[in-house]
Amino acid sequence: MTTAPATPTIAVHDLTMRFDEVTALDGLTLETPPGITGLVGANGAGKTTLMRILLGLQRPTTGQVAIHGHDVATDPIEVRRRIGWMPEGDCLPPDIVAAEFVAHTARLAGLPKRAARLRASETLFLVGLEEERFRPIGEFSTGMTQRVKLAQAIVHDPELVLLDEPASGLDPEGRVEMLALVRRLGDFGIDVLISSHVLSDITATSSWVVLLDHGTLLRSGPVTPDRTTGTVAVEVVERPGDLAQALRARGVGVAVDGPRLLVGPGDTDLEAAIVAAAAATDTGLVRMTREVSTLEDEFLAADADRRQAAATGAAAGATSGATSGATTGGAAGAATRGATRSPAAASPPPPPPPPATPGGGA
Amino acid sequence: MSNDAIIVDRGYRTWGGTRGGIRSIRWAITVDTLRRAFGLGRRARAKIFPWALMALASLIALVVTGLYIAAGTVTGGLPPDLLAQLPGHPELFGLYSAIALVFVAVVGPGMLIPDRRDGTLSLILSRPLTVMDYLWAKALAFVLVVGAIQVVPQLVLWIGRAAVTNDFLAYVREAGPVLWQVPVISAATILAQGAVLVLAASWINRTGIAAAAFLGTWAAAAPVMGELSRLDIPGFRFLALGNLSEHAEIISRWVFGLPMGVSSMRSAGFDPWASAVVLLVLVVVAGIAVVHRYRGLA
Repeated sequence: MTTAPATPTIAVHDLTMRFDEVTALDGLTLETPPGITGLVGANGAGKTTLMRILLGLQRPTTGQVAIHGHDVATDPIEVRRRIGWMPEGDCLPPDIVAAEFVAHTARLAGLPKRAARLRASETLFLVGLEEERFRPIGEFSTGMTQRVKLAQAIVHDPELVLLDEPASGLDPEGRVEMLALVRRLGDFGIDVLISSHVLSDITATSSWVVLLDHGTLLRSGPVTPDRTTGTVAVEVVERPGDLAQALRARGVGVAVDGPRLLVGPGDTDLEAAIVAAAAATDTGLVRMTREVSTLEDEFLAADADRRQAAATGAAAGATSGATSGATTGGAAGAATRGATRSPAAASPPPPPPPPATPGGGA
Repeated sequence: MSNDAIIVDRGYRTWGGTRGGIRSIRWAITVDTLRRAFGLGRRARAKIFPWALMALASLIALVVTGLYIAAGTVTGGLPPDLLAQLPGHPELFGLYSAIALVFVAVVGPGMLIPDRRDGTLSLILSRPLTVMDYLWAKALAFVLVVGAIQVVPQLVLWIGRAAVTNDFLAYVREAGPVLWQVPVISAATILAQGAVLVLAASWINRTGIAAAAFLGTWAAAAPVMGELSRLDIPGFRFLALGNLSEHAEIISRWVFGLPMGVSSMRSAGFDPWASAVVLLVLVVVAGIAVVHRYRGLA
């Protein structure tokens, strides 16, 4: 885990949440800085559970959670006073107009009636629903309901907004607009925790990212721009072996994958070396691209490592149990938990992640 | 700046003003629930039934009060035997209990179910309030609306009769107790109806089915529990305690000082205190069940 540099907006320590036999969060420890933080994970990774715990709606099995220094367990009301929440699922009454509903949610945060109405109008204007604010919510499209949900989350001037899959169900245009709104919240000085299973949503909005997988933390750290890996992917017309051999003769590392070669890592002369070797072997080049590492690669690699470790641990536990001639509770428990939480964890490790999308030209 | 400048983005303003405490938040929920009950801010169809019932209740109160006023002024006074046939507070109370029952069945589920069904409950509980705050606010809305149906017409009648009496002090001495009797009896009715309603509306997500369950329980209790309690089987007399619709009536007669008449409770050998205890137990059990239910939902 990377520790956030400033006073943490969210501080989670050794957080575990179990539902009967399912462990939704497992010993989570992380801190997030002010600004926009992305919470990434596949469906069932524990994102919504974490958000509900942050809101004080769910009591964790173990662990502590603090928001802006306020302990959620001991002071949930004070914490909720500072938070806005945009749930993923349906949460809007279809039979009343948007302005009235948003004003009502403002009053639920203690705002006076007149101020609540004024802020409801202003907030609906901000999210692009100025004209439609006096229409019943039931007549709204998915994009409009998402905007109403966002409006009610910020109408009471929260310090932190939790957005659970805000772009869910939106068309590409609506998605871009929603993410732009989220970025604006950061510009307004509102801290944001945005959850998504779409990694590009996070890279488009967030400065910090928390990667979750099956309730465990894969990574908590700043969002880094896509970076080159130092390797070059080369596709050839034929005889990739000849080119590989020529490159190896020049002291360059090569891995052959069908008609494709992964050359390097190496310095900036890799392309020149490849062209020279291709000319020497009379090999036709189809494409040559610098390999780029994205957040998605990072997520998949970390996930693969976790699965590998889980499979290794389960195998070791089973061997140990068989050797001792007795089934220990720990080994059996681990196997059971693994099977319950992640069927894949008990399976052989998955193949390595697919090659990254080429990001640069040859 | 150009004269034709326009604001294209108002940005976002923080709120530096005061914020109300938990009382104002509870009151906001109560007001919202009352608005929902009367269909305010909703389509016309949502207003029809509650306002029709309120109009009926008001009309009856005005007609009865008008009859008393006419009897005391316009005609110069009705003969005592005819005057005695005009409905008094106990009779009016029975009528308004029936109106309240219909109102509770039709409007009551809509005061509780939509928040849960539409998912709004999760948003409400993400604000600085607890499940108990939410439920208290809902209960207050229910008491206000059902209490108003039962108490306000009685108050109108009381004031109307006081207005035409020749001796106001004598009237206050005679009819003064009505001012505490009506609220007490209304409370008993509200508790009985409210307890059954919230049990139905907390688990059923369709308002129509919840209304049917409420009315069915209320209507079936009298014949089923009443008749079973009369069977000559040891212990069956206690089934009379389950005759829910009878308890409010018994307490009403008890408080108004009217003859108890025939009832399964009386046949089973229970005095009015038993009805009060049953209502209390019913309310406590319903309260615990509903709090448990909503804490689970939160």
